Amino acid sequence: MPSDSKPNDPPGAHGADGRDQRAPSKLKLAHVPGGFARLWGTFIATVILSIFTLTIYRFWGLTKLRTLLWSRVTLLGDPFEYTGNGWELFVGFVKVIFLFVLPVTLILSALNFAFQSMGLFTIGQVVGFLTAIGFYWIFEVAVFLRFRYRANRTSWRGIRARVSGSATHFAWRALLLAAGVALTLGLLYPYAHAYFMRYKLNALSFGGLKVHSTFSSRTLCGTFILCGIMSIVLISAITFGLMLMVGPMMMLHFSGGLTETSFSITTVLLTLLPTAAVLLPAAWYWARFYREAAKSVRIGEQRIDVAYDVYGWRLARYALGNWAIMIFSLGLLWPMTWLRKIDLICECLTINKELPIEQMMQEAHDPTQVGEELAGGFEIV
Amino acid sequence: MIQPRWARNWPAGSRLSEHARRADSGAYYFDGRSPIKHLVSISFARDALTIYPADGGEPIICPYGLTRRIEPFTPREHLALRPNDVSGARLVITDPALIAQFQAHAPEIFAPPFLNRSRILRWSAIGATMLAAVLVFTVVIPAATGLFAFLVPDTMKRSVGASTVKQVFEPLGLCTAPKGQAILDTLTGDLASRIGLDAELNIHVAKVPIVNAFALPGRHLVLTRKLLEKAESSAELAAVIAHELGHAKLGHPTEAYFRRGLVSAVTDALFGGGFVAGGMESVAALAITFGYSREDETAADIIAINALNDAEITAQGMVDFFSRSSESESGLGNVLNKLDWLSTHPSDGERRKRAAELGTGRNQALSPDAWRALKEICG
Repeated sequence: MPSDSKPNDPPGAHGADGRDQRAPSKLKLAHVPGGFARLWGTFIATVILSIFTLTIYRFWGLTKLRTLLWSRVTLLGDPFEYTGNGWELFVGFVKVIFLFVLPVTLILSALNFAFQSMGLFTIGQVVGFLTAIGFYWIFEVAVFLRFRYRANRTSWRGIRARVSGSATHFAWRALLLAAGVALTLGLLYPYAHAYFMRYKLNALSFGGLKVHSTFSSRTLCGTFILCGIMSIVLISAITFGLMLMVGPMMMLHFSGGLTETSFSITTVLLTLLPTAAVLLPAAWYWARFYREAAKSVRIGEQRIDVAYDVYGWRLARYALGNWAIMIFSLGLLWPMTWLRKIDLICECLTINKELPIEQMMQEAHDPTQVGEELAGGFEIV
Repeated sequence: MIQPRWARNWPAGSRLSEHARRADSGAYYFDGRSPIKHLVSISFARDALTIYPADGGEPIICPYGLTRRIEPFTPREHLALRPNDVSGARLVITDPALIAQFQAHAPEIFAPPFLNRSRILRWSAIGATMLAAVLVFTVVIPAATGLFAFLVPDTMKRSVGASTVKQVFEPLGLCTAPKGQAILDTLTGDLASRIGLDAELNIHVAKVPIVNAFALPGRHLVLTRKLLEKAESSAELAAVIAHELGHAKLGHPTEAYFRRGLVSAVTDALFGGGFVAGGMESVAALAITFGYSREDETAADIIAINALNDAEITAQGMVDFFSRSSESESGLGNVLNKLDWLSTHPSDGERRKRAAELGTGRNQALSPDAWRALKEICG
């Protein structure tokens, strides 16, 4: 029987008996080039149809976009698949609007009105504060459910990923850590950041291979403080520079030396500079974060380790590039930023040991539906 | 091997492969239970294809009607199928000749009809949701807010109005010159009784540096000092007060209180969050809120003109006031005035025209002395 090996199949992916043999010892995801025209067309169609359908089409449009993007990434020559569908997101939306948004809004409006009418301003404020905390808790529940949904709707060779763990447990921790970050004026941020990543990683399994992570913030604190100081210095310097430039610019403008258009463009560009200044030091922190998170991971009983070799400058170029694409295309080239993200992941992520394909098994289907809607994110990737 | 119903009339002992050309290569299969890649051969019959695992496993019969194409798939030249609608199972055909054969047997998988069941259901759901959203905005929200405004006891409304004055306007300062306040109370009381608002009401002048007037729940009215300064005649001021009394009469302040929350919640849920949808949600919430507001303003204007007519006060005050405020609008205000759908009020031209057409009174609202005293309410 002739072999069906494809050019991008690694040698030895399957043998004469038609079964997989050992995968190579180092694996990388591959981003199949091309496909931008179709992705962009789908994006534009989604935007237009969403506008004409009071954005309700977005559930299906989003699914199409994810399906296209997932299919561009391959492992061992086989593509990933996004198996979610618009109906699931739509049903999640209907559940959220009728079971949560409308009743909660009505109850809160009535409570506010009642407290105000009784002159119980302090109680009203306390209720308002508790409500905000409640919403934050629900948002964090949704963040976890969204992660669970996306993982479970991602499959490779027909098998899914799965996220166990408790969304409410995650949300309580998120609430406590958010309070901790606020009380320590942000100093607890690396701890919280590492905690959430560790929680998500430890909840994840793929094909029955459980992910284990020992990610800790110890290695992040120094980078975080250094990047924070760099951000403050850079923003201060740029703001000072801008203040020095504003006076002469205004004079030039009012004396007719600068046209209205040039004045407006210069003003916009100068206003955007501080944003770029924040991005740069943040890139070094995030790069360290991803590297350390990947380093902490062991997959399955075989303790397969992974590496995410991204460095500050690479991440800064990526972030600034995306930022420029979004600004200068007025969002029309947004899909390009998704492809850049996939490129980055494929370029940097390495699985350092062979995958025990023969031991991998299908994961159960997860009926989660409401996370996407409640988290309100709707990011594509 | 279990034979499907369509194959039951075949001669006893016959195998599918004897009735169809069997292909020996060019396809692989994942069984949906593990990621092991099984090389397979496939054969095509009239209604189904059969998968023969190369490792000697049981053949799998897949009726075309239960086979779904997975699209997009990489590489594009390969054909990926989900046989028997089993969620994890995948059959990938790599051989172009086999793909052509499959296409010949099951062309509908390659070109599903434009109006297939899934598409009809999807667009029905979208249409129904849009219709529901329109109904929510045009019927449910106005009815619900009207019902709430009706059900809330008057004492509660009064307390909310009083507490808003205390919390929002008192810290900014209220103008309380006794003579001016007495004149203002008399004028307001007179107009209120003509409108049919006989219950207790309060009017305040707040030291706010913008031209505006507010009707709060429980018949608390607030005029700004700037408005009093800009008003050039007592008829103009009477028109503004009558307009706010119109809102009070129709229960708009309490309705607006509940409506704000509802509109925001519904638009938020409808549009979702995120980068683009979030922006659209804000614009939509503004447009919808302003739409309700425009209807309320028109209704309040009509009540105001009737009250002015009854008191024989000239509605020219309303015309003049709107003309002046329209002229003084510049920049964003002027643009909003042109974008009717994004304005809280009907256009000034429309309001001037209505006042000029319906107004029958000829007099000022106050004597020159009383007007002067009222203008000095803030000292």
